[in-house]
Amino acid sequence: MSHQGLGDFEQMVLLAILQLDGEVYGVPVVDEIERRTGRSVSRSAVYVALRRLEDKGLVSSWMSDPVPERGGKPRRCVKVELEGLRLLRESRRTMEQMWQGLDPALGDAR
Amino acid sequence: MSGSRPGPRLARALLTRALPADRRDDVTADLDEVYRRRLETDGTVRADLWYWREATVFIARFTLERLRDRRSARPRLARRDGPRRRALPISLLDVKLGLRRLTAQWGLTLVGGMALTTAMTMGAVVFGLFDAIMATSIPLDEGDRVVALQPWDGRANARRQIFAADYLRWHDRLTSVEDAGAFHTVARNLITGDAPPEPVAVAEITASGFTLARVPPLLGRPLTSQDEEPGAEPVVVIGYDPWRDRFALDSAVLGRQVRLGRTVHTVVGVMPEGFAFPMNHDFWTPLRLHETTTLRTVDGQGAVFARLAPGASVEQAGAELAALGLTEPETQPSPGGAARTRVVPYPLAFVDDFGESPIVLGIFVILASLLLVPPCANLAILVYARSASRLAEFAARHALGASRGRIVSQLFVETFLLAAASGVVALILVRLALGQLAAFLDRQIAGGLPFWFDVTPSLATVLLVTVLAVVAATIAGLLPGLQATGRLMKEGLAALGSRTAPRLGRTWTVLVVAQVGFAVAATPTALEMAWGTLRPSTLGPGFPAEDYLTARLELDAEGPGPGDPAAPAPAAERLEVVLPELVRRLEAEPGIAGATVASALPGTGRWAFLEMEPVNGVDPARPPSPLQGGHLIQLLRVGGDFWRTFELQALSGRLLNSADGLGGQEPIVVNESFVRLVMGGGSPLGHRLRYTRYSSGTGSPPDEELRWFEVVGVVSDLPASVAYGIAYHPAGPGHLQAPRLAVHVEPGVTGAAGRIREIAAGVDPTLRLEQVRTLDDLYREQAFGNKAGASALLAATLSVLLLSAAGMYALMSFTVQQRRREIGIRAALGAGPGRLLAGVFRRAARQLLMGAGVGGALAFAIDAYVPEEALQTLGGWDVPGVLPATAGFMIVVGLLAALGPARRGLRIDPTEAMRGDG
Repeated sequence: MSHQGLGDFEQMVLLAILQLDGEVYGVPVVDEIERRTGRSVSRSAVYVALRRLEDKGLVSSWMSDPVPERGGKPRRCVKVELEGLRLLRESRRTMEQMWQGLDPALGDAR
Repeated sequence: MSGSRPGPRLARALLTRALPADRRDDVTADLDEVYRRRLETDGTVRADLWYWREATVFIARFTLERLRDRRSARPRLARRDGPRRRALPISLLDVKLGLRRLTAQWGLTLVGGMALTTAMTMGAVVFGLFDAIMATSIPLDEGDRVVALQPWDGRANARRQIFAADYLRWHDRLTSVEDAGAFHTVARNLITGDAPPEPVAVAEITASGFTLARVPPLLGRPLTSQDEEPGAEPVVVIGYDPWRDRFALDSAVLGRQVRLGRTVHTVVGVMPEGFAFPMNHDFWTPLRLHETTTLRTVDGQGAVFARLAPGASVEQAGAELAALGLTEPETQPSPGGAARTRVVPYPLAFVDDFGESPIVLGIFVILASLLLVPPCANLAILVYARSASRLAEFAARHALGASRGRIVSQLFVETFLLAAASGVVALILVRLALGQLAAFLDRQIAGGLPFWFDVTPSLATVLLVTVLAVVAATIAGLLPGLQATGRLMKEGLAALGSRTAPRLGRTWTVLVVAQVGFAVAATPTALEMAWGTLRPSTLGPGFPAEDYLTARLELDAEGPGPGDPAAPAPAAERLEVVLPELVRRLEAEPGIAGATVASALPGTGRWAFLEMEPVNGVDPARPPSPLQGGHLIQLLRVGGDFWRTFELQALSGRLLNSADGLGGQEPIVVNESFVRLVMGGGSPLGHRLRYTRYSSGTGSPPDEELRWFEVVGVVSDLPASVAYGIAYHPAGPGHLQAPRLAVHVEPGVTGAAGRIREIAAGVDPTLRLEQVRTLDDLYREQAFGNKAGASALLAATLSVLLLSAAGMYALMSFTVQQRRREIGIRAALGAGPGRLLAGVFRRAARQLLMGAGVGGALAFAIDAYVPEEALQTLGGWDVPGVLPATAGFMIVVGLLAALGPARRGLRIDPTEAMRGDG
């Protein structure tokens, strides 16, 4: 399967999954992105991104055991696959190469 | 309680439909989780708004996602067809212009919109209800493949009982289905710890029901086939709601013991929230087929269910089942071979046979469309009149190159926008009306509505409303548009100079007269029916109905004999012992002023037609209503303590006592309305009556109710708002098969319902108190159906009224437009405003008066044909002077509607008018 690289938002979703411990599902992923970026994020965009990432094989998902607090409904838990990790690393490398040598010019901005 | 509360139901239902199947459960559960968090911090309103916003965005985004998937999956077709042609020359500009015109003519928009909305709502409510009843899928995994296997009486078109032997044979031999199982519902008293006993519906079900549902338990285990073995320990699986309400979500509930009727069961599992398979159950116990020979499936409280095997169809399963057939024991012969089998989608196992459902649905669609005809015809004429007055505008546009299609399509868009907006409002009203209806049915049906019953407008209902909107726009926009532009196309700009202007001829006059006539004729009856409905709640029952607790009393089929607990006695025989004891214990209880049992509660008895015994060849009663074919009264059988409990005194004669029901002559007591409506005010004492037939239900009265009964007393009306005769009969042995209990609780006493349940369980643990509520609540629920009917009637009458007014308005606008030149000349020649106004008003006034005359005559005929007694038994109430008031009101409304255009006529500048037309 060929991938066309990762979009900014997809990167953010993947990184949020990696930042979280325990059962990672839609609700904490949204919370994590909002907490770290300090901006509100469209919940539906996160769920659509999660589904696309799964279709691309970058994320896998499974249903948890029934959760009493949710009226017995299970959660769809997600984790980042090896391919997802590879693409994240590649994106980071690409960005770092683009930033190289710009420190003097953008010194104030950092 | 926000603990398990999901988001707003409609938003949730729409969201569920928009989400892909594989994400449906987890996304909605995630949103519910955040919604509950928001409920705690933001309150209900803000949380609901948040949910709606999120659901809308989710729906939009996932719909786009689906379209994107579909587009990327579709092979790229060669563009052989060249540039795409637009089917209709409709542009965004038409929509904008249409919206602007609808806003500018807001009065007509409002009236037309209301009429269309009323018609669409009525059609869609009937369709939506039918659609919900005829659902073919249940909300379980692959719920559309769950079916019911039924023995069917082809001759009576009815369900038959299922023999255990048949079920077992089907279970073992059928290959086109899997997970076959069976259940039936039994009612039991639930007794746990210190809580008062509560009647609950228990599903006695085979373990395969849980395999079929594919829903794992939240705690513990589901039922297993070992639980069905003879001698196995009695176990129960409970639902989420009783786990929350009775066990406070305690995870140590497994192994606890609960008593259902006379048997103690051990809790082995808890099912997740929302699980209610097979009907609407919260308790599941094993079905032990060795203990029973038949499943109680005739009353719709049981079924044999299965899932179609992969690749198998309903037809294949039906053919295989038909080949296996039924074991017909000799005790239940089937005359003429009427017994057959059938396989149907699971929800249809519980509804009566509607035949071919698509045909029935088709009939509903046609009926719904027919409802649209009167408002559409009105709108069509309005649009025609308006279009004719815009002829100059159309001619100019035509001269500048606009085609006829372009002009007509703009008229179509204008009407379609109005129809579409009406459709949206209609869908909201349908949702509200069906929600109310479902809540009402849920209270009325024993055990509540089945879990798959969903009144959220389905795609089919939305489609129906869309089709209706297109039909309405075609009738009301397209046709008059074509008509108005027809002459323009023939004559071009010359049409403007023509002396023969478009006319509103005789048809228009007939329509206006008919509308005004119908409004004048129907409004009095509608108002009388509405007042009849509102009257009881306005006047009140005349006694403190809120202090009376009522319940339906039922005994489990099996139970101890009166003397020997080991020997079971039939429920009817045990009732004879249980009822007097229950009343005795209740009356001894502090805080209870009185208790009684009767065949029905005051105002809820059985309707029957009666005849009075002639005295010297003369009927002592008033001539009965020709509409009803006889005097219709309510019949109640009451115990001796009824009078004391309801504090009723004899107004004349005497009351019944406990010795009256014990054979021999059976005296009866009647109410004041009986004296007024049946006897015409004469004394009924000493006269005798008998029943000829019941007004509804099956068969005629039993032999014992066919003899003559002598009236020995008269009591006041109970409740005071009743508008029909009531006959009270003594309740003798065997009379109270399904008794109602009424307990007069002293004011200020709390927790009486629980205490009454405890006392009842103390008398007999299998004695269940169903539908415990105050008499006040009961009366309110009774009024629901009448209120819904009265509302529909009022809405229809109001829309006719408004349409008549709109018709007047259009007529006047048209007349003024047509006579601009004439008015201008007359004004120039010095005619005063009064004369001008009289000229303009003459035609409208003539039509109004004709309509009022026709309507008045009709209303008078209705009033003569529907006598007071018939009106009151139908739920209405005579309102004096309503007919002249309606006629007067219609005339005033018509004249007011005509006033605006008439004033426009007066403002015509003579020179402008003459120059413009020159």
